[in-house]
Amino acid sequence: MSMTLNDREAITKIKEGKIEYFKVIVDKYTRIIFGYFRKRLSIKEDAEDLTQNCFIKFYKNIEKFNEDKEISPYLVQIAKNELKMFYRQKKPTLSLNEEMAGKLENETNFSKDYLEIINGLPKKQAKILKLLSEGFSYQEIADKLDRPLNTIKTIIRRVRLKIGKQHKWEI
Amino acid sequence: MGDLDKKIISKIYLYETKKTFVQIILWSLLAIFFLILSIFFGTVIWGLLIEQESFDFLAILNQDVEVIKKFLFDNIFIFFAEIPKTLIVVFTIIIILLLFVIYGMIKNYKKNRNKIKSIISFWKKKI
Repeated sequence: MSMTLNDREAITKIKEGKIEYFKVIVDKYTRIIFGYFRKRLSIKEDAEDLTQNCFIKFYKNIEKFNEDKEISPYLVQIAKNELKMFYRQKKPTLSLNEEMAGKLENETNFSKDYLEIINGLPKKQAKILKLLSEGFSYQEIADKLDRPLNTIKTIIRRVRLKIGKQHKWEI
Repeated sequence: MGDLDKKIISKIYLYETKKTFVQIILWSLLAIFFLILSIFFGTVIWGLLIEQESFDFLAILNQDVEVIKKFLFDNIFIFFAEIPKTLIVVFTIIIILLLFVIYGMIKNYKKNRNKIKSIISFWKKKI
């Protein structure tokens, strides 16, 4: 296997089923991606795990990848998403005490109203709002629903205005 | 090649090994399933046609040209009236699905062959 292949040729070969050519990509970009994570994470093992996930995700989506495009921006975008997910999972959790239980009651009422609002919205808007409330970013929602980012932003702005007229909440 | 690179490549091969073999097994099972179904329905339809003596209308071809001209369309009409239509529709659908599966297998043959070669050479080196 020639290691002087460029990215485009390597991707084409991988798409033909020659998995060994993924080494070309890994050799070339591991340092960049690992460096990206290492700068942002204190634990080396975490950075390594995320780097591995990043390349596995890239490999899983390689069929859809346009070989005429640059690989590094795509990999960095996956890395950014991985990092977001990592931080989300690492969010500290608190055990419930009495004071918090009282607050929770109010929140439950809020959730009921919130559900009513979601049910009253058109399907597409309701889905986006639900994803937003689950903690997904605009970009992640756009990726998930296969819509442009700006469309998602517009829909959310419209929903905000719509709900804002009925209730004085902020989503 | 560093340790991290090796880990990534190992994971990729592990993922691809599972995916490729599951895919090949699934497609093969689908092909076998549709093949068995098509043989079953084909046999049933053939049996029915033989039992009904539907193919007797072909005997008209041994007759004189005048007789053939006069009765051919009537015989064909009777033949189509006799055939088990529902079974033939089901049989046709199964054949189309079978062809679709076979087409899919042929289309991905080269790619899967390359994948299997890569996977085998990787695991051989590992062992």
